Amino acid sequence: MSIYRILVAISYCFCLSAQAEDTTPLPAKATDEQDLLFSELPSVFTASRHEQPVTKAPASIDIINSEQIKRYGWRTVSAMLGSLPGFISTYDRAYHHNGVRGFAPPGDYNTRILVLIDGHRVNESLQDYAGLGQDFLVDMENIERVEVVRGPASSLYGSSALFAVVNVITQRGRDLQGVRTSADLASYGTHRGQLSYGKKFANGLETFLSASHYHSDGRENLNFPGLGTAHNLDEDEVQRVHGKLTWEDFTFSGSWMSRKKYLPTGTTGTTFGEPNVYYHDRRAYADLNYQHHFEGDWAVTGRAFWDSYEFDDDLPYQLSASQTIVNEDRWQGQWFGGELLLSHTFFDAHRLTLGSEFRHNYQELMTNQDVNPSYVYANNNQSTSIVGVYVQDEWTILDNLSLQAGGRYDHYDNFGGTFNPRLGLIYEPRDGTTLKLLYGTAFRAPNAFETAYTCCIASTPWIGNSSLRPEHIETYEIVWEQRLNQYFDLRVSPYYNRLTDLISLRIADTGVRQFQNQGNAEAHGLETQLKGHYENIEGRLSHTYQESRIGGYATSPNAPLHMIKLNLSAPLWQDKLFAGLEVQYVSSRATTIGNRVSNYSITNLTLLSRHWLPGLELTGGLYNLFDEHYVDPASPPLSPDVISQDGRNFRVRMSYEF
Amino acid sequence: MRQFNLRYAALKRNEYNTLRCVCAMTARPQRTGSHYLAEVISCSFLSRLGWLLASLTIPALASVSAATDILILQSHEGQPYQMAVTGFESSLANTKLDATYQTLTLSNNSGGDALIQLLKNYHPKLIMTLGTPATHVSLAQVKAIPIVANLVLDTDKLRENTNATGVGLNFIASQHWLWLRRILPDARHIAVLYDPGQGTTLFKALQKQAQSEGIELIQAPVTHVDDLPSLMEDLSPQLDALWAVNGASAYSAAAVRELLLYSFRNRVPLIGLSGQWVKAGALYALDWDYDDLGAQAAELAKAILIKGIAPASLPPLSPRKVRAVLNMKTAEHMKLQIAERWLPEIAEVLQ
Repeated sequence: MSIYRILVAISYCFCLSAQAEDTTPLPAKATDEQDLLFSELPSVFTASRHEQPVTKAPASIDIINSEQIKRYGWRTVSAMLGSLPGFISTYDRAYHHNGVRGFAPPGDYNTRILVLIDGHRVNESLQDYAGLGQDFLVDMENIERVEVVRGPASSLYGSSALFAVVNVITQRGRDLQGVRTSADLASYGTHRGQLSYGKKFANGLETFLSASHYHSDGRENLNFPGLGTAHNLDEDEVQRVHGKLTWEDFTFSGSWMSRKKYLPTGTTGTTFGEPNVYYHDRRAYADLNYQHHFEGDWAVTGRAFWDSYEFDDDLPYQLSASQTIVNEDRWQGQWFGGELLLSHTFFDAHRLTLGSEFRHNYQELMTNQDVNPSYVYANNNQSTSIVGVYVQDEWTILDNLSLQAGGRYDHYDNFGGTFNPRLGLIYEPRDGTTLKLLYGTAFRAPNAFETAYTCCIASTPWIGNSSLRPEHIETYEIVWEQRLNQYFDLRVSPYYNRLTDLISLRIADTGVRQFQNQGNAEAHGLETQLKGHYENIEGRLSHTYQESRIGGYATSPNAPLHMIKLNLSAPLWQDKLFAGLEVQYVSSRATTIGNRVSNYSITNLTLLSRHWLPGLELTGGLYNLFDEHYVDPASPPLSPDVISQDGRNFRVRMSYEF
Repeated sequence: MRQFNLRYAALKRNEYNTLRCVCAMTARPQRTGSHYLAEVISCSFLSRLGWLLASLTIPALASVSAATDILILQSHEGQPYQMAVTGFESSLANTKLDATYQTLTLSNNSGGDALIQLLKNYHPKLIMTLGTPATHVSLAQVKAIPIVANLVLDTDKLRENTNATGVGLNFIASQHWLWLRRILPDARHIAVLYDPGQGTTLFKALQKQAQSEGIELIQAPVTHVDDLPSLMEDLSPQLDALWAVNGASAYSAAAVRELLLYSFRNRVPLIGLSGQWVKAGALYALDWDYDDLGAQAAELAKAILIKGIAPASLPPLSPRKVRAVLNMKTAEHMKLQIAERWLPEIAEVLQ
């Protein structure tokens, strides 16, 4: 608890100094303005599907840019999100997943966060899964900025936008203007190489191409109490290709990712310590986007896309002491769709946005079989379609008062329709002060796995539930954003969430497993964040208080009551050497079966060096600097209750642009 | 040199009207060593005494040039104005004119009253105005005294007055174009932000140059700060540069910031209107050599006072010297390579 107290003390000192500055405001300098430009662009696209100042957007928003990614040395999107108030990042040695605002049950693989890449939906069609760890579709180096919009956003985006929308905006040709090579070397036998090329040509054509390979031997020994030690079973291998081509109003982009992760934990049905237990995920998409502003303030956006998600695994299990049988899953989801969005400002005061979206999941294949001898347990295949229409009006009532109202109706083949509204009243009583009163609902549609997966009738039966209803969330939130002075900004956001018709797995006395709408959940909390910026020094300090109850659990799993996070970056020597410090305190959490894991504090330190030679950047990071031993609650169907996390480890990266 | 700083508000408050002098003229102690109050009380008497002495001594000093009173009327105080005044005075010091100066600074609300008050007892041979407000006040109130305007954006107004000429702030198109091609030789699609209130002459001249080199200039007229949000939405994200060429009065600090945000978000370099824009993040700007602007104004003054040329016969001038200011940090962010051969010609490179 000592670290906790220290961080609380720091936070109060931080606030007090900010107030002191407020009494003696300094005149803004052009150079300070410039530093602000280099650090963060205070406008957001994702909240309303058009560019607007953060203070005008109907949500609590954080923005992370490529410079911050370098300075803090984040290796995954999940780790980056974990630095933000209200977010927690968890790793079960298979996948990274992020919980938001007290809702982070192990096994929820980011299905209630909508993840976008350049506006393209990442959550796949079979399980709504969005990879945010090493299986993210884009390398961290290729990210230009990330917009994190908290709260329900189904009124614009449809399913999965319950707790947040995370829009990852990738680099364009102009962001590179040449070739970039980079190489990583890290603990646990980890190496990574990447080659990127980006160029904006004089004729207006713009292209960006990147490919990378990542390999990690993983932890040599992982001990799981009650199960034993997994020896050399943590290997991870990832390949990625990402590209973008822009010509006038058209942008064609695509990504492909393949990841094979061995499971030191084992999984349901496998024997602990068995080698060659792995998950293999492949994700790909192609997206053609058209965006144009016509005369008279008419804006049109059109999008056509194709997506693919494939998953297979090898799950060997011992039938007898002498016979091992390999069971495997083969899943394949493919879909295409389109989107059309039209916006116009009427009477100088109403910005109206109309949109529609169509998705057709033309393949939702989920099979399971033993390989030798061959025996098919499951062979599910279906196709589904989704249509959504939405409207949003941003009404500027007064110069300092606006109302945003919108709603979206989605129709699904399997369960019918759902309507989700959003209301936001935004008031700026004086310069530097913004108050946002927000209300909204959102939904997550039952996915193919939950509705259609039927398997293993003779052994451990899973029965699909075609009568599932979507789960809903209703959110009330107040966001108070206060500019304390030219260096500090404060944001305070209390919220209340109520979830109904939660979809969760039920195991009947007969052993039959089926997803059912069972129980509700609710959470309330308070997020406080102080951001500071002075010339090249920037930082943020946040405290999250959250309390949640989820039906079916005595205590909400993986939901710490308090989180304190500090990120501080400063130049050590001119513009050649920067240090990025990250400290996170997470209070104790419950596991899925109700045990408690203790609180932890981890510190990461990153040094970034540049401008020694043209185009050369060196980054060195020490993660978990003080070698804190901590665990994360595990996710079913992985075997252990808790999973130990990495101790002190390092990464060095060399990047060269020419 | 005597310098007076007339603040009309103070004048009314202190009821110095009764003195019927230049009234509430603040003699700057650091420049004159005189006490403010003594100056105010004595100014009426001294000026009359001065005229008396001058009239008595002129016949005796016929071989010596007579003192030439010049009024410097500035919109407000500021370093650029001081530099322009210094340039003006230095340039005139090298002539046979024996110039004596009085400086009047308009307060925010004084309008033309302060000038009228002053000119009741003071009869300069020439007025040099600094800044648009001072120029407008002079043009409105003074018809008989030659006016040389300086640091003004709109020189067309000067042409409408037979007693006025001056030096504008707008660079000629060829200077704009020269620096654009030096700094951004690969730019092919450029949005030009200009003030249509100042006419389209500059834009047309740039357009002509652009067409001859196969470069597309997109018109982006900005008359008011409120125009900017919709204008920026309409801009293609595939632009190569955003080029503000005139119309400084249309931009507030917040508007410049919006432009810079657009610039940084889209990695489209912004060419600014002054060095301040560059310090805030614009790629480069053509800034002014204020000392030389003063010298240019002095040349007009010489032509009027020494050669006796009517102001109407002296067309307003554009700045002849350019101080290019470049932000190298922005260039790096925009992934732009600036040709080394131009760096020595750039007056200020911000790192």
